[in-house]
Amino acid sequence: MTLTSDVLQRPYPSYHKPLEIARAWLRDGTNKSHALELLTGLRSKYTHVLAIGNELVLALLENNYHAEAMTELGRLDRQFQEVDEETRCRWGSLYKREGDHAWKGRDSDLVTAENRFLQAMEEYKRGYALRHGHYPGINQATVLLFLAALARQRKEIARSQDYLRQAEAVADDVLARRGKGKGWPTDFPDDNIWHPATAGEAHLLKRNWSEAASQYAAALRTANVQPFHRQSIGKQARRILEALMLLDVHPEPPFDNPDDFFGPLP
Amino acid sequence: MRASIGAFALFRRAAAGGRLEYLAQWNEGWHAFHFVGGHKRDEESFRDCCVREVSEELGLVEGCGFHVAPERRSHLRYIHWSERAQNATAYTIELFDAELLSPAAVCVDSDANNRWLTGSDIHAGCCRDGRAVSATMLRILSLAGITPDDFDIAFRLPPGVSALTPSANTNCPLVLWTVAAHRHLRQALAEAVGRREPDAFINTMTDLTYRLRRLFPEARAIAVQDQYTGFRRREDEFILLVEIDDDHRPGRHVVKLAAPERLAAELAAWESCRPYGLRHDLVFMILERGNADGPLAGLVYGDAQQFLGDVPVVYLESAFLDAVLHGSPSPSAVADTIVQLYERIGHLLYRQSFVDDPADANFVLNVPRLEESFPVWSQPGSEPARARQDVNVWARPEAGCFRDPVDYLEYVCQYVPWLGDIPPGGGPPFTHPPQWQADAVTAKDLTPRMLHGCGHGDLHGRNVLVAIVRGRARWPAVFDYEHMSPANLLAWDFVKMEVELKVRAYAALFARKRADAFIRAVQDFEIELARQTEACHDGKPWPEVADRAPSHERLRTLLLTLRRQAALHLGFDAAAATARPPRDWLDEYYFALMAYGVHAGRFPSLGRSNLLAAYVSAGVACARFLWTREDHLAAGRPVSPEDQS
Repeated sequence: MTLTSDVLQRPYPSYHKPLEIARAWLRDGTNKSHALELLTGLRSKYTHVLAIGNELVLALLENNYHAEAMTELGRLDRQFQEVDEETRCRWGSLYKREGDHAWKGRDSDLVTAENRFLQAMEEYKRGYALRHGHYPGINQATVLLFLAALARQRKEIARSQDYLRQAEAVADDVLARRGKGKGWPTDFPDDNIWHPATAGEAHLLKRNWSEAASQYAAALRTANVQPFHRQSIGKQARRILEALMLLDVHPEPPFDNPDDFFGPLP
Repeated sequence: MRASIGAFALFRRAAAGGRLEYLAQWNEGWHAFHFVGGHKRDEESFRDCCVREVSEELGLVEGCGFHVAPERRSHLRYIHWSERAQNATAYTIELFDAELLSPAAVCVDSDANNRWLTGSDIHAGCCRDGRAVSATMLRILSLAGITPDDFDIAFRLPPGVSALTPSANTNCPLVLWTVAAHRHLRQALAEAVGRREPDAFINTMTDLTYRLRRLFPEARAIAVQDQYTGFRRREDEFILLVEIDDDHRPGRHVVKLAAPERLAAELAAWESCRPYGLRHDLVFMILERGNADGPLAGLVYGDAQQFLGDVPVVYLESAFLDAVLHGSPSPSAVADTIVQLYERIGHLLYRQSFVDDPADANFVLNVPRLEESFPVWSQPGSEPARARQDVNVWARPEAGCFRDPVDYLEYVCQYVPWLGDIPPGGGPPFTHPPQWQADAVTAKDLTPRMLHGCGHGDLHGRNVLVAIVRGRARWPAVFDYEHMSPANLLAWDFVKMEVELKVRAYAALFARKRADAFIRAVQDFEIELARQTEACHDGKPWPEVADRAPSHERLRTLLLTLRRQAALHLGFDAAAATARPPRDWLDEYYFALMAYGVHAGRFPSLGRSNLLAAYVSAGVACARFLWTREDHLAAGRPVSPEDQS
């Protein structure tokens, strides 16, 4: 009996233990294929559990089954109509990752990339609609910027301009909600870093260079900032700058030298 | 407690008109006819006992004169008062199908001590010549799920009766329907009138009027004041509050009008648990045959005398929800009513109980309608399946906070033999064998010791009436005894009441929230309720209900009042009567809450928010039950440390 079938055939009081086993196999990297096999079995046994479906998509990606991962993600999307903001953002991030994969891969596939970015944008949009959280909001705006850049690469100028207008409108909406009512939600202890970083990203996307610089600086000088915050913020800013350059926008200081401002990439 | 173990032979034959008859023999000790059979000796099996008794009593030889089926038909356990021993007795009985071979049948018929009884004889408790039939025959047949089928199947109105009106026959009592009763009947028949039969309302009213006259032929007048429909109205069943003006039994009564076989089954169920000598009671509405002769036209729940006069009478559920949501009637008085209710039922019924211990070799998990409940939650596209999925998405998944109750019960059923449902055509339920025995995990690791015995079996807020006096709920009165049995799961009486009340309270308290927020609000409430219950279980005083507390607090303390009663009756009182440790009650309670939440998926009347709340409640109970067990079970190790050594 294989490792996987042993776990699958044995009854468990709940799905938690076998899911924990699959997660551990996936995370340690040595049993990725076993993890995939186990998660496939668990998904058909516990059809009502979203957490298993999400983990299965990750396992498919980790095992380089990208098309299957997207099919499974679509299945989850149809089955679980009502999910929370975190899940929408997770799904948006997976579609965005696949969009990047198609865009920046060896054989750049702009059509697939656009489709994936559109799916990502839809997930972030639905996540944003739930409570107008800054995280899905800024990601929706950023994906729209990527779509504008991608359309420009395909020489679809009008389409590109339309996406850019949409990106700016969403960025405006996100910024406007920061000071309205209860403001942006605070879910995590380091949201004091993410809030100004999000504002910096929105301004950067709108080419408001000085406001962007001041918000990013505020984020990076908070007391609890860690190296991974700096790397994550810098990486996302660089992606926006790359997209802007594809749109023939040339960054102004300090964003003409991101390594100086955010620190070098690891 | 005295124990009686025996086996009986079920000889049946088809008589004229296709009716079944049952072979009985005159018992000199009881002065009544009873099945052929008797006490089991220590060294013999139940079947051997049955064969020996038939041979001795009928003077026949097995194989030539009769056959006894190789497998039992039913294994029954119940507690009842033994008239002969003058003691409460725990009965263990096995019933075997048996067949007379043709020459022997003539010999049996020629002996006047043997008699083939009809279903009517058994129900009536006497033969047509007046000789008695033991009530135990009906009890055994009912517990075995066999309904004697040869009484009149349906009560039919004679031709022309549909034209009968209250004033048409001056020898009959005048029957008056109040506006409320009229309106409630019309509401109950809305679908029938709209879809099938435009005259359903007038025909039903005429039919009910006729039946009421049969129940109270001596009355001068009968006022129908209200109709009670419970959670699910049955097409052919009507429960009415009537006020009678006559010399014999004046006052208010609750009456049930239904098909005779349903009424007979309820009467038998009531008799199977009715405390010996009980004639009048304030909490139990004593059940009586409505009419002395002919097929049963109705049942009368007597002694609703506390509702005499113009006292408003409402369901306990209405009083409870109004107390929670609006603070009126007084929440503390509703709590008192709950205490009175359970103290009385506990005093009269729950003491007749026994422990079903999963450590016993013959243990079979017996939870009502488990087989029917499982698929409801997994059927794609069904409302319960959607609710289950949503709860799994939104509920916090940490240990002690939520575990999927269907997953867990299905897991239990893979290790433990469990009792299925009664098949659609009748007959004994099938016992599903365990499918997995490879691990060290045993039944006692998975299920708690549970108390079975005399219980109501369907106790909820719409089977209990209360009066509202000066803004306070008073005088609880219970009716509807259809599910009474000496082998009921006692915790069911508490968890059914709790779940049916709280899911409706949650729907009102957390209204206007989206599904995610609703699920989390209910889960938070349930976890806090569990924490407080566990603290009280560990010795902290149970909280009192404060009239001026906020609505959430009123709900919490009222539910804790109910749980306190469970602690008393399933815990301390049961410990005195059985060998079960008093602290076992909480495990049993969580297990029963989990099972009831799963059971509730079968009810189409539950709205989406009720379903969500019921599933969250079951899931939190499951998580609390599993909290200290889960790691061991998931690792395939027994739960108790001594079993691991």
